Amino acid sequence: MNPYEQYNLIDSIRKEDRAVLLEIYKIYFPQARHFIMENSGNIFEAEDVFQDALVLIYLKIKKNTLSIKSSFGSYLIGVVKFLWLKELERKRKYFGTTVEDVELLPGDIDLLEDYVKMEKRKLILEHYNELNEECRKILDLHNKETPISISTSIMGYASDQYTMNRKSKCKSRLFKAVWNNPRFKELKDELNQQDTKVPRW
Amino acid sequence: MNSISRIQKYLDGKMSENELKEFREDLQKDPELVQELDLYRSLDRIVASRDEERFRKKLSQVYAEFKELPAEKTEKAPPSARKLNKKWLVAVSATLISTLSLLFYFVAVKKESNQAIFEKYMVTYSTNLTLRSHAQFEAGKKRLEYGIQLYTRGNYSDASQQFKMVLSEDSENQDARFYNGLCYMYLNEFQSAITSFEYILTQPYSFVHENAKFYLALCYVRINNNETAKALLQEIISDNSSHSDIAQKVLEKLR
Repeated sequence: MNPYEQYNLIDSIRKEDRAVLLEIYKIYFPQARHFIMENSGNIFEAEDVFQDALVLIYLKIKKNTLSIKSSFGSYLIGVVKFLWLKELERKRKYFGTTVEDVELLPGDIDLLEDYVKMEKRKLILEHYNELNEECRKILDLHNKETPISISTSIMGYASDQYTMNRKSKCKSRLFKAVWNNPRFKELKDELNQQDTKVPRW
Repeated sequence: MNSISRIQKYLDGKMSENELKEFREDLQKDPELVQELDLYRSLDRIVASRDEERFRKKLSQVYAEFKELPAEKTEKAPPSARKLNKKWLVAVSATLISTLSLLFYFVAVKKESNQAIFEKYMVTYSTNLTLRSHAQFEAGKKRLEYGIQLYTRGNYSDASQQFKMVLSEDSENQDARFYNGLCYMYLNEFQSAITSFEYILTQPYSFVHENAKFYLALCYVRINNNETAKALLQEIISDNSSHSDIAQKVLEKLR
């Protein structure tokens, strides 16, 4: 793309264009940071929330479900505000934090489902990374659709049956860790409460 | 048999006909089993996908780079005029800030007709545009560069010709279309300016959109189409763009 062609921002995010991402940080992060720090947050939370907002948008772009009716900037800041509100709700629930009314963004975004999916993904990956190396390796081989005989050889196991059993046990361990995590239950409940609790901006 | 074993057997296609029938019936009446199945199914897909992980790593690197920038480059308010090309940014943002400040003064402080507001705005725009040196532009695209040079000198007619030639070769060039729209405004060809800005707004989103919408609203102010101008200004306010404040003031004046 030549420098004078108008920039297709969405496509650049899809391509994970580093220069574009840096420009987005330069333009929008100060505003997001200001909002979060003015609303009971700190700089580290601002960093995390801003990254989550970009990831959420990136995942929507990848799935071709992104529909921006206003402008990218207002959409991004809207996502930041939404994610921060969800975080404040959690803080209030667990730590009894007093949260002053946060400025809501009037607009056209409805992010609850995307938010729940992203949080579930984070949780799953978090527990995946907590598995031992053997489990991660065998699940990786399985996910890459490696033939079982080759997996057996790579893992140094005695038989293909043993490999399959190990894979099932590792996957079951991951499943239980996620399923039993209270955060997972919260996320399941989020969608159930959607109609009564979450503002539809 | 616990649910994980059943789910695994179901997904592996190893259930007998009776087991399968029973499992499907259970799915109908047990929402938790449905959720367990969903989670179990999603594990492979999520763990296998490295997109998010890779993107997060890239964002962390970008943020580290962002933190290393001098403060003045990271503390700016988010001007909508900013585009991804820094060289363009310098001229447009400087101009826009001074323009909007003076426009705010003329619109919010003084009671003036639509035309008066617009004319003063246009004068302000042309006199405050930051001139850029030829060397600031990258090699190539000389025509667009030349067009901008003509534009900054106030030669809007010739500048417009250059932008039109750029557009004849690259109709998707929104920078050329945007500047051409501004030229039309100076040349009092508001319908053409409106066409340019409206076309930009139909294209995939870019940073030029917010500017195009703002100047489109001003075109409608200028031609006394207050209803359309108000609707656009309202959109700008709702968009929460960096023009929101001034749009609010203009809107109040039009009421």
